[in-house]
Amino acid sequence: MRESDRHFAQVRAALERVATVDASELVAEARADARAQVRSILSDAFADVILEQVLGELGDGARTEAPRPSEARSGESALYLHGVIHSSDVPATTAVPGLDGQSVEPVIEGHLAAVTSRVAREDFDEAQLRANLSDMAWVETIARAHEGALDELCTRATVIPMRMCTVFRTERQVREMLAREASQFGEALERLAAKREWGVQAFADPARARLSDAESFGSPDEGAAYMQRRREERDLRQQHDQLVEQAANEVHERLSAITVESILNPPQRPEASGRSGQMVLNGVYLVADDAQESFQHEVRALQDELVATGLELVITGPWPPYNFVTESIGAGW
Amino acid sequence: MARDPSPFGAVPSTYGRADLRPRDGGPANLADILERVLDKGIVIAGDIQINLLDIELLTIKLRLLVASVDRAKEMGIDWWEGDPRLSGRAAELEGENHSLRERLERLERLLPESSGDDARE
Repeated sequence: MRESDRHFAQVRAALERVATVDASELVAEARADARAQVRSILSDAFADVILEQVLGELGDGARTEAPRPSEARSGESALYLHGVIHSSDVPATTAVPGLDGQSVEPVIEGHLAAVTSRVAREDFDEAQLRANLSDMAWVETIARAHEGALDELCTRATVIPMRMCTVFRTERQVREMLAREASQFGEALERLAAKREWGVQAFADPARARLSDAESFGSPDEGAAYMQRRREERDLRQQHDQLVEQAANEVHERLSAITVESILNPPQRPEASGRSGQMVLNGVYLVADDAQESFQHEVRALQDELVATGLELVITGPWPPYNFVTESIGAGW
Repeated sequence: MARDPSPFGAVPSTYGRADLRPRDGGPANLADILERVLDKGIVIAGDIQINLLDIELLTIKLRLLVASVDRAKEMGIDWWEGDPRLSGRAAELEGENHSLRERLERLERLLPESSGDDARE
């Protein structure tokens, strides 16, 4: 917030400067600028507060939730489901590392096989799982291991990825579930066969965003000249935003045109993406195996064409096709 | 004005499987993973009695952590504004709950034992 205090002081200084020179129009403009500034400060502060509260709450959960001793009997195991494949692909699961680095265990039923990791049941009973999910380090470890197993599997077979933390008590229950949902899994495997998921994110150039925000208050210009400069900067910023938005739309349209399916996800926060530039596109694409190269080629071509906008494209993948299987199966949902 | 020529020139940075990310590999961004494993993929009700609501809530929270707040509000996701645990009223509500319980206990102690049993039957 120190940064924002400084901005506020600058807004005030600018207002005072303007007030000595000229009439109501200038004051109104400066006031509008100040209001925009304050709104953005508030929105940042709001985001920070929510983040803190969410993180604080997750932390509290970890401290207050204790495992129920009656259920924490050691030695009992359970099966954590990573994904479902054709049973004919079971040989492809050999030596795929699951959770804890141990190899995954296939559970076969008819034409289908569930790829599972054996886990301690006590880590996934109701109370303990709740506590574990409050622990970001635990969540990250499991998320990366789950994703890693699927990542490896995907290079060898068509896989239907499961949501994280899908756990069954016994093999029999896994087989019953496979039998019950056989037709739905069969359709999904058919639809996903010989295709991979790719992500393409676009980031606006942070240097340009700074140019329009920070430098605007720095100059000691007086009155009309100052306001003129502000107007030009605002126009420039609007033009830049429009350009960036159009470019992001074009990227998505062109990639959608050459892929089987495409989905637009909400852009990630800078804290999440780990980049200073604003994410303006978070697209995911289901790409046929024989189009993998042309897809990447198209992304590179787009990057070349978009140099003038300052957009940076980032490809991630290939991923297991999480974004293209979002159905809910079974009771309770 | 000119975008500084990045080490990769105009080539987008890539990560993913080793065979396709020869240059700047490294592990995938956690947000990219969580966005998928917590929010996407097939949802099955497992037979272990996990509290599905808790997981769903965590999923939504992580979704919010990952996605921008502005964007979430645009999409009509504003549940946190009505969630006392997130709108800073948790302590207040807990305190109120506690004092109500105490008052209830005091009242129950004041009642003759028989009348409590009658009321339940």
